[in-house]
Amino acid sequence: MGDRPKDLNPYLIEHVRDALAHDPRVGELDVVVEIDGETVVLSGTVATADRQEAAADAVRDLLPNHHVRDETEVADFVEPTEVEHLP
Amino acid sequence: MIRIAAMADVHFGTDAVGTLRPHLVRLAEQADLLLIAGDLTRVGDPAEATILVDELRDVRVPIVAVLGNHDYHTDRPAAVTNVLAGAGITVLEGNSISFDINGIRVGVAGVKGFGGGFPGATASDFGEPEMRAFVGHTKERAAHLESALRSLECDRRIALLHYAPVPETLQGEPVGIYPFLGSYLLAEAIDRVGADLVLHGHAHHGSEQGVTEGGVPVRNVAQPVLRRAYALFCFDGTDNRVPVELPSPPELAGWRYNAH
Ligand SMILES: [Fe+2]
Ligand SMILES: [Fe+2]
Repeated sequence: MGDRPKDLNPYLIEHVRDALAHDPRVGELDVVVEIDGETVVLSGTVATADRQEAAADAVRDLLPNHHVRDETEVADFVEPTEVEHLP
Repeated sequence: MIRIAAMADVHFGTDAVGTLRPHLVRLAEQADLLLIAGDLTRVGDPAEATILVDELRDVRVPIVAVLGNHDYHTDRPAAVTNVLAGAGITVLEGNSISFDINGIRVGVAGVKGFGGGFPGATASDFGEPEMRAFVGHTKERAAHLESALRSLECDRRIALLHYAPVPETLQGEPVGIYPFLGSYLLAEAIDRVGADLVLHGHAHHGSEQGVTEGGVPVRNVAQPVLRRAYALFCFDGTDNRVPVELPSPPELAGWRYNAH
């Protein structure tokens, strides 16, 4: 055993990302996951409000002893105002 | 003049009813054609495609799409394609379609594409069968793209992909995942034949603009990259590539400042 402190959070982050991709309520690959102590921080854009809520729920189900801070935003993409001209 | 609207990565689900339609009301005035560069659904459930099709019902221009990886997730790409085709949407995979628009013939060659990476950091078609299958799939898609482009005798040719053909439009994504976001084999196929525009999606954190080695403009039209519902392009035979303001309804003024 080395004397380096064990940081298992990098593994945990990938497990959370995997859960968000595979949870039938979520199906999002693009949520940014960070772990700060006992807090899981979610950020990035999700497609709908239902999926935003489901993502936080999925993390709580996976890590019941962690607190979830949800900083994700629900996409609302309106029509463009510019045209790109090509030859 | 040919006006193209393009979008990707709408990831539509049964929870998204009504979220897209209000932003498409002017599309048919602004464009002659709508191209969708994959990830139409959340997990490739035909019920999700049904919701999307309903959302697109007021878009009274031809719609051409390719599927993305999300549309394959539950192993029902044919059923998703059937729902789209049933609503009059052309779904391309290794084939092409062309339209006469204002006396100009425009062709679209479509393929999902796949990963493998970019020069200097590519996966090799070697070793385990899984690895050979991975790179082999990309090689096959690229070959189909090349033949689909070659089949087009048009004034303007567009390659419609889901995966990226160049690394520039991936900037913003972690470099380590570039090989899962696209492949140079797609750009090579395009450059062998030539094209006027390449559209793709998939890289939600990527960048809008790139170019192939052969000089073909590449645009990442993933909605999270555009931060708008779709992008507009116009082939007008000039060399003016400066964005031009469209008259926009007053209620949309300031939309850019809504932080997402
Ligand atoms: Fe996507
Ligand atoms: Fe994708």
